[in-house]
Amino acid sequence: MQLDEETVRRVAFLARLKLDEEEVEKYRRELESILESFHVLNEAKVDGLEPAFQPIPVKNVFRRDDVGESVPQDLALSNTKNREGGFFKGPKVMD
Amino acid sequence: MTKVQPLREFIQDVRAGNVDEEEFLHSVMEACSKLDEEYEPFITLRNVEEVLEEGRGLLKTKGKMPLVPFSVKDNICTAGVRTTAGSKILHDYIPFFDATCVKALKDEGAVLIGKTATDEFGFGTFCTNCAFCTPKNPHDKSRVCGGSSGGAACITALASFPHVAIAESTGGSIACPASFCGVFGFTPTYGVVSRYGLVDYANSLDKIGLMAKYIDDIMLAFEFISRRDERDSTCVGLDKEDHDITLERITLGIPKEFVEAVTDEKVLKTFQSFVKKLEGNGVNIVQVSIPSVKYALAAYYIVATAEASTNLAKFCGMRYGYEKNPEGKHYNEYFSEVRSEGFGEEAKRRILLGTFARMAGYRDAYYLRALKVRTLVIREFEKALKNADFLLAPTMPVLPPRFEDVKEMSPAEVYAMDVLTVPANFAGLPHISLPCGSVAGLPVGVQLMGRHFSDWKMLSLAKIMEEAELTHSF
Repeated sequence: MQLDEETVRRVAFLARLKLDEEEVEKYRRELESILESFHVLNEAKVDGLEPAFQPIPVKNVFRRDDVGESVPQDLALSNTKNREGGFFKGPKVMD
Repeated sequence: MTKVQPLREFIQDVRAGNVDEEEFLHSVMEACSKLDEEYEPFITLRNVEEVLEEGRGLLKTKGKMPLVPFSVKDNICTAGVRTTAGSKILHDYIPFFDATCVKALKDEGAVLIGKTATDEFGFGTFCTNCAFCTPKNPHDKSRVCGGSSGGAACITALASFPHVAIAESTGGSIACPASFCGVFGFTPTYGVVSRYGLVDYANSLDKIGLMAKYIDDIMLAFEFISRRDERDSTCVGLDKEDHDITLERITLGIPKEFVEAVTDEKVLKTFQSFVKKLEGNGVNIVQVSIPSVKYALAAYYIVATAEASTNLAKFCGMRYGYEKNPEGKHYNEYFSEVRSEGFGEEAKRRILLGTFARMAGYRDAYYLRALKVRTLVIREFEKALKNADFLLAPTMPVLPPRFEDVKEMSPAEVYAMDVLTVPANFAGLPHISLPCGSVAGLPVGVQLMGRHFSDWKMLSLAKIMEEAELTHSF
């Protein structure tokens, strides 16, 4: 299949990846060749088959609805410098 | 390489009071540090003092693995010990909890020695996509260890002390490096080992498993990590089983599509002479066919990258990991900046591929079709396994390549290297890679693949093969 640069830019935006022009062309070329090698899938006879979202039948794993220990706030915050007053600090979400 | 004591012998020695804990752990850490300089199996090797502190009193533990050194692939969380998943985006992440499998071994008295090298988030076949180090093949330093659990296989092959490695496989990340480094690499049935504490790559494919120099070492540790866990909704666990196996009563099926996919003649020859040895020992060999193997690789990469692209959305420069000052920045700009700087080249490639496969207009043609192919692959495996106890095939189509050759490969060519390990992984089937011979000193591996939940029987068979000296020891 043909993949154009516009599609690569759109995908990159959806994935929140900033690509420069050179990267856009590089990934366009590589993805095109990878997708090309995936063409074989069109030959597979899968009509009437259910998609296997999991390889084995998965049942719910239940536990008792008991109050347990929670992560202490200082530990939860221990992996970031971006914190303030016991909260995580993030970028602006509204203009 | 050096003859190493099997774990059960070592444990007996510990129980008998023949091991000085401090001296032992000191020598282990010293050996690791020397090996690390030369071969780079570790992203993080633990501080000696910390290890000694943890080892104190373990001689008296009631646990069943007292003082046994174990390593953990660096995409599995370890309390207080940096866990990077091989990525710059987690370069300074220190979990405050242990993954369930890590806790299980610690509870038995085992001692964590370090975190082993992995391709970034498990994205690779050669362990050359790690942001911190590149492990070198123990049998030839100019060659790769295989990936993504390359560090685990590397230290398992090199360790001159009793040791077991916790590794992880999504599409072949245990079998491939085990084969390239000449050790045993076991990937359990999907859902048997809890994934709690694993840095997810692809939830419907990720399996935590083990590597060791002896099958019995794997059996010992497997019992403790294969328990149900309420923290992983897909974890079903598995009870230990004892199997009395005689080679004369075993039928192994060789899928012809696997054999046809082997590109290196010498690998094929080594495999064939291994099959002859098995036959000579009474194993019944039959030919089977899994035609959908030709679709499995493409379908696997679509499912794996689709799941990876959603899993990796959480890495955005907040709460943990690589971060910048978010002040004054719009969230789209901040997240994009952090992710572009924090992810490596292969991670970006797979995020793009997976995002594309899930996009409106493409989802049915790629993602859903791939999941239907998985149903087909599982059915064909089930059918082939009606005529055989287990399937047998070479683990990798080539010998471990040189670093310089890997650099010349295109991404599609690298993905194609997984052709033999992907089918069992995609179908969630238990499999184990065994060293079966060597070509000019380089290891060749074969894999046994079995029905879902036939893990214990498969391990028992592998053990019999090892005891009959059918497998190769380096």
